[in-house]
Amino acid sequence: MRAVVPALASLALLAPHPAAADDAAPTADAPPASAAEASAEQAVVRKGAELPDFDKVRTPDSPAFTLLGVSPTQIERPTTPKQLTAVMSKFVSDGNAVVPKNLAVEFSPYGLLGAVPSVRDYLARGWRREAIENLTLSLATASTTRDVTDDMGVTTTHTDSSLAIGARTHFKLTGKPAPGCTQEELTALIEIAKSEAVTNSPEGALVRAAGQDIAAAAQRRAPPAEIEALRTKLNADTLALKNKLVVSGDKIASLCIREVASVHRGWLMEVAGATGFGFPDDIAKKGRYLRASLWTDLAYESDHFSLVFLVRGLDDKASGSHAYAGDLGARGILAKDAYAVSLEAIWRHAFDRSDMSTAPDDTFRLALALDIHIWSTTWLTLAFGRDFASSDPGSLFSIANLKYGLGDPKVKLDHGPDAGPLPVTP
Amino acid sequence: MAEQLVKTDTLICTVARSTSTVVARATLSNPTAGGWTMFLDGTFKHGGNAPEDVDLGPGDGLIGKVLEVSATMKNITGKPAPLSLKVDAATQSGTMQGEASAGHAAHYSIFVVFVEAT
Repeated sequence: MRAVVPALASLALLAPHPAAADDAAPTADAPPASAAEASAEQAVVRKGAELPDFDKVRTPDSPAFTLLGVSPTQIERPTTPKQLTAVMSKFVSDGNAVVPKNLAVEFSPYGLLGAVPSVRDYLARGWRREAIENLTLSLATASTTRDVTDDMGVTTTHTDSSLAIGARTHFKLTGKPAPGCTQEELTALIEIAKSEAVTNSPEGALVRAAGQDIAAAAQRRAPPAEIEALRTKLNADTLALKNKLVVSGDKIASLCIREVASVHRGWLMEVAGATGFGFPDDIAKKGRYLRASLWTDLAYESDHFSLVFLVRGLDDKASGSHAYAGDLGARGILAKDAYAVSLEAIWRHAFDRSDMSTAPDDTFRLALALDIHIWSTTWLTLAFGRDFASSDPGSLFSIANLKYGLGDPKVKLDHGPDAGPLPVTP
Repeated sequence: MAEQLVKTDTLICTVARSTSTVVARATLSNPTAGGWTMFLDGTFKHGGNAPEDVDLGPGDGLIGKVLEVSATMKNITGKPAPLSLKVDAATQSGTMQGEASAGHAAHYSIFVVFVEAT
């Protein structure tokens, strides 16, 4: 589904962008005729820069980071219990509990503690076991500063910390696995074939000698039966040698058993949750609950079509009182080689909103994007929609409801000699 | 341990000494979950996953030499499937095939012995 990426990127183009008004304005020394082109170019560049955030409909990979709104440049992913202990030791300093600054850690409990399953066992996993084994925990901390001016007019800077803990899992509901080989696995298979070559072994000289015997017999026009006898002997000798060289079946059994590119053709469920706490002045005793969120989505994927239904909820107490909001939405993508169409609709409802609030209880986001393959690596992107906060200044939706980009996608089309293995014509 | 499918075969290939370039090609059955390598008289020539032409040089230098095409393939279809290796060398070709159970592998070697065309 290679056309999906440009389509989704166009949704990112529609996302609210505070600098959009400035970006769209022509520069002073640029002629008016090229201003639109410049704007489109900037939009395409921005589209590329925003790609990592494009798939906001799906459940976040690291819910703790999402809840805190942090994008850590380095995420610690311990792969042994010892490494995890080393990470967690940052919460203790001089015997006291502290909140480490700007920590981002994500780990799989099953990956750390579970036994390595056999291939047959791995492939036979049910959805409950998949959910347990795919569970990941994330933990993030972030620091912010604020200035406080006292009654005397003296301003002091305070540093506050936030901490969030999140969990996420996913499991397949339907669909047969369609395993494939990664590039690394394909390379491993070549290496195995190399190690199993008889002529590459110390006994290879015997094969070369037998080949010379056959060539000599053919040269002196030996009877066909004699040549056939030499050939039969060579076959028997090489089979015995080959059997000695064949690598363990278990080693090959672990290759090419996963679905390549994480595309599962069928229904998939993803669930994530996170809760966050604030620590004013970095003092653990002052810790208080900030917010919690729950994400779930049910996704169907096939070669040319994907559908995602989402339900998510948020309890935000950052302002002092609970503010509950819930989202219900769906996104569909139809993608072919030459075009991709995506439609996203999310309805958001605020529960128990204060009587003093003037904001509406119900808002929605609607986005339609179309990508058309023009030529080579160039796509035309058309996008239309509105966001939850369409009345807010700076929202791209409120500035332009229709925007296009003409340029190269960030993902190369897989044509050419580097495209990997090609199907074999029977 | 998974079931092993191991086979070897020999192909006698006639080439004229005057042939300027002899090309060999290895083709694995679909879906591609395998690798192949070619050794000429024990010297590694090339390896890959997809079908590819390999230049072996002029015919004059090939007489009496042995080209081995070694292939390792895995059945990833989830049901029994034939796994095959086809080797084309000069104007001749040979195919090796066997039925592999789901998840099982095949280990093939086809030896091409080059003899002089008379």
